[in-house]
Amino acid sequence: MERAAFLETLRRQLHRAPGPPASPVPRSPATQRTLDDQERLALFVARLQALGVMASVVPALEDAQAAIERLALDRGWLSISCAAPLRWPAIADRWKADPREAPFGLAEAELAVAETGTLLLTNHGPFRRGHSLLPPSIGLVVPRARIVTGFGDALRWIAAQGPELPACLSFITGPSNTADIASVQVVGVHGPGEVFVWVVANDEVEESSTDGPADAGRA
Amino acid sequence: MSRATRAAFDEQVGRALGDATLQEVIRDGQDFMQVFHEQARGELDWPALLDQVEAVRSHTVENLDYYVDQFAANVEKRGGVVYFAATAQEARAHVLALARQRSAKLIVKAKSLLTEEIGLNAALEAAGIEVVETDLGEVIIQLAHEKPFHIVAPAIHKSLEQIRVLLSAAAGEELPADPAALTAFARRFLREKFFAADIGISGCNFGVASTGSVVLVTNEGNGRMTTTLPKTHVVVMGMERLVPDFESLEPILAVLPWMGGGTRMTSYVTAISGPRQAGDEDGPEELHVVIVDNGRSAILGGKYQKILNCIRCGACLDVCPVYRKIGGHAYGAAYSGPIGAVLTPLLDGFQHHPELPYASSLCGACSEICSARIPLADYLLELRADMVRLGSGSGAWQFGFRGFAETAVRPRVWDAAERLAGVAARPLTAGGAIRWAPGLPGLWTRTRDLPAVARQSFRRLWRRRPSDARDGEGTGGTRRLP
Repeated sequence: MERAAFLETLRRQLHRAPGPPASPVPRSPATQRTLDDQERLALFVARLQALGVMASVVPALEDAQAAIERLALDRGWLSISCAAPLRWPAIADRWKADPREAPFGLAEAELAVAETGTLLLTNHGPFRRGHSLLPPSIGLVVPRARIVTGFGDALRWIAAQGPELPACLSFITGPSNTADIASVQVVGVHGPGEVFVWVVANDEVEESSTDGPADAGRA
Repeated sequence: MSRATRAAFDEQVGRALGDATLQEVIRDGQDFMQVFHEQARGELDWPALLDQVEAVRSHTVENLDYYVDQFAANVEKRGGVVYFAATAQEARAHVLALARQRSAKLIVKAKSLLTEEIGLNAALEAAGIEVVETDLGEVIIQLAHEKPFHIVAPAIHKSLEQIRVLLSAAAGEELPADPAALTAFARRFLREKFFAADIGISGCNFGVASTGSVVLVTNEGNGRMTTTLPKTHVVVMGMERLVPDFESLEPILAVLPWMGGGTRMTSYVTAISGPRQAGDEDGPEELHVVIVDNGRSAILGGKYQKILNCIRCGACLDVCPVYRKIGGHAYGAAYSGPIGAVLTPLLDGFQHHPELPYASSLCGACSEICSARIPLADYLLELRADMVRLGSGSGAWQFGFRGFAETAVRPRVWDAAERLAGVAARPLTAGGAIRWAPGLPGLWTRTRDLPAVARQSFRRLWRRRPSDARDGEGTGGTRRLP
């Protein structure tokens, strides 16, 4: 069916003339609580832990990197899939762009939502969707300053980016899971069953990634 | 859309009622979800949230032509291709043509009620294409050749052992009766399919008109896999599944995860805006969006319009006492429970589903729980009235009510009918109940007892009430009947 005919059917049924709605989009009044930085961080970490995520607050980005190196050593991970701008030299032999066979994927979050324990990833350029999807374990790094209180804050942030969004925005809240078999909760169905989050308490990541994911997608 | 006959409906109802395990599974599932409903109500300002969901959905549907146009234009701006389908047949034809043009041999699908509604899998399979569902619940029912039992949890009716047998057959080896092991097999089995698939087909929880984004709300990650790995991504969506902008999703995404899965947020909310863009290292090279009417426009502008506000959370199924007994298959279509009892006859013509508006006790629990404040119970009653007005009720039904109407306005005839009923019922009455009756009343006694006809009718008792009670007549005081 042609678009014009399709739309004309809708207009006829709705008794509407072509053009925008007569009334504005109804907006939700702010219902979320007001939290200070410390409360937001505490709530975010508590929500992550309730979801089964291994969450750590580290003073600096180097501390998160050191934790990842230790984890790779302990687990015997020979490859880590990660976008090139996020890599560091200490484990240069393990970096891999293709996440299909990697046991661990690493990504940086654009925002985090305290009330739901959610991280928002923008996928574009070298920041592949697969890094946070295909490996059985993933690590997500987010600067503390990027934690917002409610999901609505993250949606408003997206709306403020304008129409040129990355092709994929991924909100991730805990591990992939299902209860489709006998209502028993099982993690790691298709996506990662194990999620690590490092919250970087200082603002170094924010500053060091002005050409990276932090500013990507912003109009 | 499949058309359930009355006999098929009765058969499915009988099967569900006679299956003690199934009765237990449905009851446990409903009770399980109701705990989360309570938790959500305690944690959030629930009435205010539902008001907001209703406001956003109503605004969108009332201006649907504008938002469909805006959404389509923005999908195209991002490099997607948009198709409009007035009917299920047109929608199937668009997808089939795309599959043929790309010589597709294998298609992976993320959960989509709309593709179930339009019978897409059967059409693709008839063309020799392998179609693999990837939501674990959908995988199970695809292997069992069944329809979804629940709009959110399609395989909720299957026991662990039944699932073990189905997945073992797919694996070609005996798998243990362990949900984790069975899930691990599904992960391995489906991952190969994801990597090999030519096309990924998904539904669309919400389309964001202002950006042309397709938003998927999932827990397993199969939605992300389907929209990441195959070279071609096809979205098949009902035309009403839009919101004006991202901010409009706030109340909806506060309610849907709680009602659908009992969590504050699903594991994944993914927003797809076009195919992969220049410089992107992964994601599909093509995005095609099929926007489907299939009976929805006939609902627009009419008294049932709010049914299009539905966000498919499944909460109405989780509180419905009729669904609790008859389960999801009796509804004979993609949508079960109260939403199915209203939506299916409206989309497909209620002459094809005359039993569905009656698959309700009209208790109102569905209207009360509805995330989008759809007056489902009122709609069910209204559908019944429409069916009678349009003469689609059975002859016996019409005759019965016409007879009742004629009798009820003639006191003498009513009196006589009461006495006749009392006499006729006497030989059938035992132990204060009628457990068997011939003819039409037998339809009732086949599954339930009728109470015995009272020795004296209310009217007779009223006439014989003591004189002191009669003295109070007309004063508005409380009167006690003997």
